[in-house]
Amino acid sequence: MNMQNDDEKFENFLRQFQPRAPRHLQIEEQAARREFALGLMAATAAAVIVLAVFIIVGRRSRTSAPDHVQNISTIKSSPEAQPLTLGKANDLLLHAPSISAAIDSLAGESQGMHIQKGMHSALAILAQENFKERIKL
Amino acid sequence: MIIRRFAKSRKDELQRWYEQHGPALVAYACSILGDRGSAEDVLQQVFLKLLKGKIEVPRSAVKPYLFRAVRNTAISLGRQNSRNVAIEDETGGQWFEAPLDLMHWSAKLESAIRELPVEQSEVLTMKIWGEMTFDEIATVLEVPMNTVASRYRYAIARLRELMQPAEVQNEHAK
Repeated sequence: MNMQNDDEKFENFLRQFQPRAPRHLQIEEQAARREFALGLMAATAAAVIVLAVFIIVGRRSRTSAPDHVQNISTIKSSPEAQPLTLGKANDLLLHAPSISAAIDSLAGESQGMHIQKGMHSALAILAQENFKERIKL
Repeated sequence: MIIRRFAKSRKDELQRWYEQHGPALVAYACSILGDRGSAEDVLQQVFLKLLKGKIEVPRSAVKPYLFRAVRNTAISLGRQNSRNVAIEDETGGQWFEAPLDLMHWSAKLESAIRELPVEQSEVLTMKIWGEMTFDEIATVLEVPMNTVASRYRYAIARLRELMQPAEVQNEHAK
């Protein structure tokens, strides 16, 4: 009993000593870094979302383009493209939905096309002719 | 804005825990490592981990959890460094503050705690300065409560011997 009493006294004696407070917690800088990282992540996520929306909207508008534009693109991308001749140009003008669409498709077809030997394109023939001289005559 | 608020509330909570439990936690780390400087490093590490959100603290048992985290970190650090090497740091390495009339006992108490086996000194520190129950201490150490109580009794007895009981008795009899 007396021993227990002594222990209690000794415990109370020990409690008079207070552990010294540790140095200031250095979380200010860490917190700022963490805040910046979180902000950066949020900004990146927002940018990705905006970019994705733009891409999706862009694709949708491309797929819902007017009919004559679609016709032009099919003409342009035709793998069986032939050298442009007067006959073909007439044919295109007959079947195209508008004159401007036909001209666009003609311009598209004439680019980068290889003309076989012995054949001449309509544009080349027209270019060779000197109309001004004919008018003078 | 939300992120800033979240980070601030987390920081405030940690700051509160640090102020509330920091002194006892650093004393506890000292009892394991035997060195004030290393003990403070351990405490900083634990709280930085908490800040980074790597540890989720159960709200019902904050104190035992913090002591457990400090223990694990201190043991991990102690494996890297050699133990029982008292290095005087910039704070002078003192573990305790005491009333002026007991100031000369501080160093004696510190060296007496260093003399104790770690399993006794950590129980003593958690009980006296951490103000934890035997049950809480048992949870932290993952040992039966009777073992904790036994270690505590041995620690008190040994500490009284080391601190020259006659003088101590005279001091606290005043």
